[in-house]
Amino acid sequence: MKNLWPTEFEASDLPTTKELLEEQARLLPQLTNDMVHADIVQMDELDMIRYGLSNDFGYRFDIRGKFLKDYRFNLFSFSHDITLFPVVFKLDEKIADEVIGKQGPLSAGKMVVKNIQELENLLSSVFGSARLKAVISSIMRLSK
Amino acid sequence: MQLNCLFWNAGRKSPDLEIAELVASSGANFIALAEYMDDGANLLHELSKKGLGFFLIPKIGCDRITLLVSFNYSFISHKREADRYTIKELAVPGFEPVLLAFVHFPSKLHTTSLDQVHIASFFKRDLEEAEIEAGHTNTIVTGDFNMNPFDDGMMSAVALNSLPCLVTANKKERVIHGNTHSFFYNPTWNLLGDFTGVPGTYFHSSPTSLSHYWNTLDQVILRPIVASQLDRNSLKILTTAGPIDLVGKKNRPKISDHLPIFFAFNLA
Repeated sequence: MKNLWPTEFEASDLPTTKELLEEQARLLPQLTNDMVHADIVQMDELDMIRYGLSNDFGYRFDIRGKFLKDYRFNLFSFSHDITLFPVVFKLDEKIADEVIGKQGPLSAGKMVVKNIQELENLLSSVFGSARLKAVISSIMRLSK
Repeated sequence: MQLNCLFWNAGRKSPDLEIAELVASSGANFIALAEYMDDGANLLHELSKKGLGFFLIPKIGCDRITLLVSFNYSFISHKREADRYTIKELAVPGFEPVLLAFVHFPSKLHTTSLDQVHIASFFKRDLEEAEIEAGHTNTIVTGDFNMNPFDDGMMSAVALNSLPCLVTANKKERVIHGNTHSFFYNPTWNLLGDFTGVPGTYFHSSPTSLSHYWNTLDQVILRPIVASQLDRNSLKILTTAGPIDLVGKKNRPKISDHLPIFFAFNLA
């Protein structure tokens, strides 16, 4: 029988969106005197439906205050299927307005990134947004 | 101790005088405002002119909702939140703690019914996590849901699952396709219709064939376990703020496009 498979397979060495965000989450405490942390939480299937996401793997990215017990601000959620891209993001509405412009209350928050460059660009805009700076600054003020 | 809660969507204004009059006439000790367009300093001044000492609760990630309390705000802790809602815990020494959630969901004018179900589901998921973290379900949710009590996002099992019947809500949850959905009790159903006052909190005449005209978008819902602590007679849509009329011609809202609601809740 003829072998229809290619001669070899290679595991992708690109970081997944989750891995990239885990790295970024580790950096946040260093920038905030250990007062502000970030968490990536995996969502189950029902959560995915609730969040209006339809891919196989879904996560939410939350900002937390080390000294604000149980405080959690949902910055965005994201999902992708078995391939690493595209990744569907659902951003905080005000950050979406700031980063991608006003498009309507719910659709405004949704954005699709197709590759690592687009992902880095989006995250850089979100992390640099005035809205997120205001949230982090409030958490730091309340933590003193 | 009684929690006397006033919620008002101020309609992208800062009607400080009216709010101060509302607080003085209703006896509110907890004020929640949506679409309030000021930093609250002048409101605190108007309240103090009436001898009412209030504190602003600091905002973190939900600047759509402004909260003020007349008691020691160290009793309040910040829980989960997002752009459209904020969850706090009120823990007054000597009383059972209560989770207080305040919402301002997107307008029906810009979202579909399905969108509203999604955002209500998203909120409920976070609220349930907050209940797990708090270790209790003494939960009250109030605000501008931008839905009527009978809309899908209020009633659907996957969304808020809030029922008009306490006997049914007392079953605590229902299971659909193996998934458990907890109930809320929605006493705001009792404010629908014109027998006891204005027929809603918001008037909108739609050109489409289905127009409700009056909508009850501003509501309070509670977990059944604490429903008996609600002072039933206190739940009202307010049409006056002391000497100031909040309604004009045909009883329609005139200061803001919404009317405020008030309810009293007995801490146990």
